[in-house]
Amino acid sequence: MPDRMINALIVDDEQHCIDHLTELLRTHASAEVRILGAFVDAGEASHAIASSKPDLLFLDIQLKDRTGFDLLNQIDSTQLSVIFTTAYNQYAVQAFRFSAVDYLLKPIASDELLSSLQKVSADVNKRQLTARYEILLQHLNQPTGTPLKIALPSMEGWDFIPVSEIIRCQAQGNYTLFFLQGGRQLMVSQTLKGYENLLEGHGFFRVHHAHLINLSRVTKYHKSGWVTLDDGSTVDVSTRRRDAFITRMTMRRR
Amino acid sequence: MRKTAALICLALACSAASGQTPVDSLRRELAAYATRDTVRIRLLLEIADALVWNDPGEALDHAQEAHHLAEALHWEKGIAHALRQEGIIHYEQSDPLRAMDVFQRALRAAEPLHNKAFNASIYNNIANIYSDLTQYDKASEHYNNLLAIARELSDTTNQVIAMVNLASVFIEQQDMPQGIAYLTKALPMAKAIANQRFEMAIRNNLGRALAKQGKDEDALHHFEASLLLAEQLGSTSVKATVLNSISELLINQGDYPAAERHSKEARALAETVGALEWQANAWQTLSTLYERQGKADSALDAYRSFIALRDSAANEEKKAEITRKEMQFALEKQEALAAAKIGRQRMLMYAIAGLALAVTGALVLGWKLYKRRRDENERQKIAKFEMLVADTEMKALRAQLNPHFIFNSLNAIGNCIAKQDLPAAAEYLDKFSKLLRMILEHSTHQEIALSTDLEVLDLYLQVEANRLKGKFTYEIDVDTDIDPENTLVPPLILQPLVENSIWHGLAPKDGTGNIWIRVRRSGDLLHYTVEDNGVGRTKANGRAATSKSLGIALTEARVAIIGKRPGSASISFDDLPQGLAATVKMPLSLQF
Repeated sequence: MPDRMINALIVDDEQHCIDHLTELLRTHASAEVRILGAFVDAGEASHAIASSKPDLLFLDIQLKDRTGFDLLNQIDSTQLSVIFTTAYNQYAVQAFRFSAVDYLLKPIASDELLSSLQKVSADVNKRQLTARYEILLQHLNQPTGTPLKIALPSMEGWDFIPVSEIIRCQAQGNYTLFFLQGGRQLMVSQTLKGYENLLEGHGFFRVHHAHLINLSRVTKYHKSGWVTLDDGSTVDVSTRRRDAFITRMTMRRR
Repeated sequence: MRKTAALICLALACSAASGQTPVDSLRRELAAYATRDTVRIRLLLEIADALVWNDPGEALDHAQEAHHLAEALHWEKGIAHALRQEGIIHYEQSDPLRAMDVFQRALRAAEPLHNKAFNASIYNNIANIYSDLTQYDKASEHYNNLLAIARELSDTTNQVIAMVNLASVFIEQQDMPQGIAYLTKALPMAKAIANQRFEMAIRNNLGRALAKQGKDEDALHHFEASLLLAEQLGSTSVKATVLNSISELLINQGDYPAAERHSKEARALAETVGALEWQANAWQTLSTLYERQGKADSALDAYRSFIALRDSAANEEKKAEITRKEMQFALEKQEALAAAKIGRQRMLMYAIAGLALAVTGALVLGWKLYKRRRDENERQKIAKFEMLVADTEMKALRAQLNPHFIFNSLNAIGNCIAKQDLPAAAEYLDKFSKLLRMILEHSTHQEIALSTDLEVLDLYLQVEANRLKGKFTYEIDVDTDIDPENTLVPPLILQPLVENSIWHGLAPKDGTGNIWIRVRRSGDLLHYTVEDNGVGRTKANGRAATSKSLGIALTEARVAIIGKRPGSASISFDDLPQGLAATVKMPLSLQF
């Protein structure tokens, strides 16, 4: 069934990475993916993309003297699914997660490759691609600064929320409830722990097993063990987190 | 002054020996004794004392030599005694001002000796000066003080001196009965200590007092005894006055020839001494005598001589009076100055003491505050430093852990490739890179959630179980009272022990073995255990108690560092009937 096949292109500046991915796809996904070509050069790749119009692009972030994003800017990416590939790179990983853009870490593991391919088939991942790439680029351009926006998955697609407008997050089983500026709330299908890992480096602090708060939104700390945030809500600070919380707050003030 | 003033009573000074040894024998002794020591000082002072009345000049020389010698020897007692003797000589030389000065120096020199009796003796000598200045109250006070101390010490000599001087004060104040009473009491005591000079003075004074009372017979008796003693002691001045007194009494009794004889002798002695008043007195007595005898011309001549001498004496007396006034003024000034000086010194002393106390207090307080703050800072610094050291060591150990594990894994992948088992190598590589990412991510944390640590351990066990196909199975068992999400453990603390179980416990074992990872809670401690049913420590050479793998050594070092923090951590090995159990015990740490 050729209609169901995903036509894919691989762009990577290292031949052994191309070989590895090709071998993985041949071994594990030969029924779903047809490889149209593989390029180590961004220029050649851009021509090939324009002429062959693939459904999926495996794109390495680091391409000799330029980045995968430079290539992305040269092509019409709206009708194209992209899976970024990268070796260990903390900042890039953070950026992917903020922007909800799919990525694979090298060396690519077969199970992760298969789960990424499943997402490509899902409709939702094709929506709002431009906006998500924008967030991705913003984050990559200022890797240590405060992230501007975060892409939160919703029923309809994605909500792009400025991080500074998040007042707090509350655990609801395997879901996380976001409390936003203006009284808005968002339920997201991801654990609080995931968002803690993402946001703790950007002014957020887990004060309680059920609460992650934006420290810049704290208006008052009560010695009996709770904080008031600037939307008027109060949140418990668990006994074991109090010292660390106070240390973080005083560090911020300096 | 004593030579010219109308002397009634002889005052006695307190001195070293009170002149009981003949001067000549003392002189011989001194000439024979050349050593410059305290014995010579004593000798010099004795001679000076003996010579006071007869040769004050020589006496002063001896006293001053004694003083210098005592200074040279730093002998405080000698200095004080020499000064007292000098004072007595000045007094007898009618220089009370200098005497007073020297007596006061003697008192200062005597301060460190704390000898009440000696001080009292100097006050007695000072009192003699007060008495001459008619300040009888002050004089009596000092005399009584000396008397009391002398009685306390059963010191007859000073008792006699005090009583004789007290008697003089009474007699000067015309209280004859009191004066006579003291003298009568003092006389047998002076005899008892065989002090002729004292007896001479007492008898002279008694004679004067009795004569004033008209008791001529008794008076004459004492005068004659005094005269005899004065002759024996060679005291010209006393002899002159006593002779005149006797003459007056003889006239009253009508014994004119004897009276004339005594009177002429008195006049001759007074002339040799050069005492105008005594000469005048003698002339007056002679004039009275000649008148009684009807020798009008002689009486007139004698009377003329008396008048002439009396006027001169009066001048002398006036001069003496002026001197007395001057001296009194000088003394009062001296006393006032001394009092002011003492007051100033006391004020200064109080001020200095107060200031010193305040400064000391401030210093002590300041030092204590400073010390407290410094100690507190020091403690904080030490605590921070220890924490830093522990952290640094921990980081170093975590950094060491990774390469150790990495090379074991690379070796395993290498083995797969060597065996041409490429799918296994690929799978190993997949899991190994995933594991490596997790380790890299978590090893920067001091503590991670138990759930995460178990996830890593599970991945590791999967990898190893895959590598050693059919060699072992594993189970992970967490007690129900432990929440793996909320419990914190040092990342990969158990991994080297698991590795040890696989490589040295199960790999050498025939057939399939098993590994149990158990997490238990015991009070405030978390027990993190790996147990295997492998070959145990004794059979496998790599598991011998003495030779430990690098991984276990690192784990032990990490556990030791955890143990430095509050609570205790330990690592223990239990040899089972089959296999080995290794347990890391550490304080239970919760995230929330």
